[in-house]
Amino acid sequence: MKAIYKREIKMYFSSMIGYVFIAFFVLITAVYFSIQNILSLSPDFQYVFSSVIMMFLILAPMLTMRLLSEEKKQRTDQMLLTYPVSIPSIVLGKYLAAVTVFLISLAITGIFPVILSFFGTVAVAQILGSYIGFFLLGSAFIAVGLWISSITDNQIVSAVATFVAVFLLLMVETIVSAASGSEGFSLMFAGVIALLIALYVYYNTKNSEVSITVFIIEAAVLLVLYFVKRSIFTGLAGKFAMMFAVLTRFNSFAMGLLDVSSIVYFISFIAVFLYFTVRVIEKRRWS
Amino acid sequence: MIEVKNLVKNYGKYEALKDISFKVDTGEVVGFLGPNGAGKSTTMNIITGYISASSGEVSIDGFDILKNPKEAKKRIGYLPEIPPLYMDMTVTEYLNFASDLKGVKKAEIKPMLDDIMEKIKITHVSHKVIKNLSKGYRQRVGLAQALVGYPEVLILDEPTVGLDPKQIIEIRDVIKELSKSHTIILSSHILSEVSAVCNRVIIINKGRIVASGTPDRLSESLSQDRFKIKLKGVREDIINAFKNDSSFGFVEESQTTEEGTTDLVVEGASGVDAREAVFDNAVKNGFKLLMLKSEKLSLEEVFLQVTENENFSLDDLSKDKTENISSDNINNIQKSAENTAEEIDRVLENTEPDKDINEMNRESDEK
Repeated sequence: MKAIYKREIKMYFSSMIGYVFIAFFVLITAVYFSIQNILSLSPDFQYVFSSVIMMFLILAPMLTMRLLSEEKKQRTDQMLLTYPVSIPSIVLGKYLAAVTVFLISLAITGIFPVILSFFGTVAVAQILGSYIGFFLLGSAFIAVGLWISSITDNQIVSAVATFVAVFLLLMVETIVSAASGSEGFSLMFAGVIALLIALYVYYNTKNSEVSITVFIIEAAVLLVLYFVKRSIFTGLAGKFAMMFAVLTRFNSFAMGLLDVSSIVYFISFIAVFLYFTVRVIEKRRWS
Repeated sequence: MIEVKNLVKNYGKYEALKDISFKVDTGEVVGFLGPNGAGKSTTMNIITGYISASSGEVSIDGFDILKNPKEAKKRIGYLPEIPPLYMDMTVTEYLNFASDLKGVKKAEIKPMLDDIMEKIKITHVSHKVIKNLSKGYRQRVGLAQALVGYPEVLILDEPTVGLDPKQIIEIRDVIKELSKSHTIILSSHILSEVSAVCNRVIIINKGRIVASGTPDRLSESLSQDRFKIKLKGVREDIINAFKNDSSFGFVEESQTTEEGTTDLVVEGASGVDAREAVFDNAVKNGFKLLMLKSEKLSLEEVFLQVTENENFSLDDLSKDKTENISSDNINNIQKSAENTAEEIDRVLENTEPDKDINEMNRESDEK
């Protein structure tokens, strides 16, 4: 793991990516810092992070797009997988390297609240909270990006898909509040999930009859449930989607709350995506 | 050292490997021979743990590649078909990374890399970025990577492919040098390479082992008792005399390069030593025998014979190495040998080999 981590860190800083990432991150934060704190004479630095969250759309793909896709393309995964290192340690090494670059840029922005503290009273707890929350949020996006880069061997596809994934994660609350409540929508949503399960069955067994049967059974169960006990579907899609509402979790940190359940949430979120990544790599060896 | 048992690999419905078993002893250099798509790379990828077999076992020095991957992989140096190089690293950076990844102790890395780079002759490019190296040097860096940590087993997938003739000879020399201290499996579709470097050849075709043995044995066994002779005398007389002699099972004229002589390829009838019959015939008819040499099939011809016919299968030809074959393998070989005994007979005793091979090809095409 250490060897992989060291190489990735070196890669970030021997290519431009590491510097561009840090420069971009600090610049955007500095712009918002100037507008929200200096120009408006406010010491509330914690709101800056809420304002710059959108830059993850670009930053997350930037860090993760080549991590695993490039290994596959250059066939260097053949080296990693035939060396005496385990797949989890490869994934973890790469993940920690990306998180480290993110952490470095986050540390540099630490200068802003220090500046503020000379001229006014800063809310230490809230700022610390928002730092922790922002770090966990970014780490979660990086985990998603790493997983996506393990699926494809094309950097551009990886970057675009990560952009879309981060966008959806940031929009979960908006989408849910706009569309939930209607049972019809929930049924449609459950149908899509059923279809995905059937496709997953097909992907693993390559047996079209079995997967079609599975889908028909699922669809029948759903329709029966819909007509017999419609109340189940009330807000079902919304409840499910809210499992991915990372922004809601982040907001509790920005208010200065060190919510244990949110910390556990983010750590599990990251662990699940790292696990998916390991599975994707392992799966490829078997197919 | 390396034991491969009943490997099967399916890609969906396509069977890439169908029950491959073999053993490689410590210090052996085994050549994997086969046309493109025969399953050489797949086998190697499974042995090194890059992909998993659908069924079957691989063990390196007693460590199973799936159950004990760390120990098994420590003992393997692998050079895949396309060297796994990080293009934006320098050679030294890359080899340092490989050493770290293999878990070589820090103090040992520098002397080890100096030694390896000396051996592979890449010391003078050590500071260059890999992307700026030529194909030959990239191949060498790949080979150096395989040597990192001094593994006992080297697995080299087509190590000379795409190199110019001079580089091929150089890489081959390096491999020969390495073979003194390593167990090596090497794949190739260049036969001269295999016969130059390896002391055993496994020919693999369409996912099956179709023949295995020393390069010499392979070519010997398919051309038993066939001799090329050169006689001085009237051409028609010679041909008539030999064609009408019942002690020969096969007589064919071949091209001569010397004026006034006739070259023949002859084979004794069953139970007759062709050399004696040639002598007797020449004495009886007053021909002068200028040359008598046994004609071996080149490895190329063996290769074509065993790979072009799907049903063709040879007994394991390295009789002195039977201890290398697991009992499973013997059973398999026996089974396939029974099925194809007829065909083997035909090849070994055929009267007109070229025609016969063509026939066999036609048969296999029809199938």
